[in-house]
Amino acid sequence: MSAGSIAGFFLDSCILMPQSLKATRDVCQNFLSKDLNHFVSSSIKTEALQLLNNTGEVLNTSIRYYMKPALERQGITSVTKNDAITIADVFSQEKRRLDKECSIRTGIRSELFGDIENYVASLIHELEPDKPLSVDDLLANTLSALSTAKYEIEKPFKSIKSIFVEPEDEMLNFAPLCKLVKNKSDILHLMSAVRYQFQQNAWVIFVTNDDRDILSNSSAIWNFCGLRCTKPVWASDYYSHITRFKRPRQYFSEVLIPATELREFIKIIEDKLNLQIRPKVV
Amino acid sequence: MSICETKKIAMPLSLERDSILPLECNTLQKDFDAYKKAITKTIEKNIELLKELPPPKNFTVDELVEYFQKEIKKDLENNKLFEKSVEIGRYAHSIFESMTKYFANIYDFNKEEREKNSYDVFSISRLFLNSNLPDEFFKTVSNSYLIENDFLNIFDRKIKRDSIKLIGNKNNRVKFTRVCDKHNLWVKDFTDKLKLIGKNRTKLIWYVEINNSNKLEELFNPKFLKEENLDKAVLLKLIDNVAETTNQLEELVLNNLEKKYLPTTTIDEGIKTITNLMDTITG
Repeated sequence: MSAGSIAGFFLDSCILMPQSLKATRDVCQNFLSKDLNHFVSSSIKTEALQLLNNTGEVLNTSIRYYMKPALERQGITSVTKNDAITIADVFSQEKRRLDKECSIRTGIRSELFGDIENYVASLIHELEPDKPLSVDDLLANTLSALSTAKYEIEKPFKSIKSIFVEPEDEMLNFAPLCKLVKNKSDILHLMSAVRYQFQQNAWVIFVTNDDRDILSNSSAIWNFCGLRCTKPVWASDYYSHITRFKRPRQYFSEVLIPATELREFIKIIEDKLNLQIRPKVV
Repeated sequence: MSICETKKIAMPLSLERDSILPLECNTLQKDFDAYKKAITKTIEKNIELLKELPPPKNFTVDELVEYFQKEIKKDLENNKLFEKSVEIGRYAHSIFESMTKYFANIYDFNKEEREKNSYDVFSISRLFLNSNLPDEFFKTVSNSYLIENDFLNIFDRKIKRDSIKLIGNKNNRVKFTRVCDKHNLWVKDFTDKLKLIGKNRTKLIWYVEINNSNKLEELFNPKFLKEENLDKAVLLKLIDNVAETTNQLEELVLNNLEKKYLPTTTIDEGIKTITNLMDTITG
């Protein structure tokens, strides 16, 4: 079979996120730099951008309504590197206060506040000992640097081709998969890829770094749903391997399917996509 | 965009970037009044924008116009980047004669523009920090500055390529003009959108500032900006206008990328903080 029977690589959001580990970063960059068909499902794009949006709102609320008033209550109008411990105390008190208050009422959890506090600390450590910076400038710097970072993280999600797929409830509730993969969002992303694969009748390879929920179950996902999942480092090997296969519908119509789960799943696909994959038993 | 140096808060102006004006083969204007003319034209255009805003509560339109005319003039006269853009605009206008000068200045100028846009994000952050304006205001305005930097990166890449063609055809006026025409065709789509973003953003920030000031002297000086002082429908409409034009520019930018954006490899404290925050939110 020609490589034309491969639709491409469906990417999990972790592949498009900045990687802190150099080795993982290099592998992802190398994989994404190749001239291959990379795309994301609409569910992944929406989820990632929504999460970034929520992060932005938490960030703004935390800085504007908690950090600034906390510093003002202590009468701190400007800071130098020498004030680091005072600032640390202010944040510590504010976190205790937040913990006492209900997170629903304040709309912010103290650990989120802590994440931003770390950034403020890094800015304070960079200040020169005797050169004060106004609290407003310090926090405005934090806001602008973090919103710029957020903008940079969003870019790959916006520039990559996104495919609108809406898997049916029967696919999303497919019991054998739901037993394996606990995270409902992951099931949605996997099912989007499978649905696209059968609808287009072209193989899809789902690329992720999620060992815990997806990669550790990759054999079962193939056996139950007919979807290949891999790390980016093995993606091109799977690609070469799968080019030898017939197109998905032909492949599953001819191959012996020992797993009852896959037979059951193909039945759902046939019903929902109005397809005939397995020969009818007369 | 321009920052009024005499003020502590950003005073945005809608500026047309003379540096990315169409490349034309006209004779170099020895017009020493070009700078003055550019100032007059910019003031006029900005006053038109001011008049498009809903009537202010605390001032008469005439009072505002007089004040803005004076302040914009002062701002432009102190704005080195504006002066430089007029100069580069003159080189663009007479590219056949001034090619060397144009290319000697354009990259540094764009670099300064990018720094300026980043500073504008800081200025809008400071303004937002001292306000109860909606998150959408901050997100929309800061994104509108950041997308301009993405455009400037594309512009630099394309103008570098065009410069090689122009140098190669400097003895063939017909071919030289053809390269200019091709350049102008793609740049026009962008400049149209950039102008709109600048205008819409200026109107939004002016609307917020004007309706949060009781005296002219309070304009663009530090104060707490309250959403309650604004008509919510007008505010949302003005934010929407900026968001819509920013999205249009973003679409053009994405369509003009040579290759898709890869995840950033600069893992600084900012990136780490945002990814940690995302993990905490989902966790």
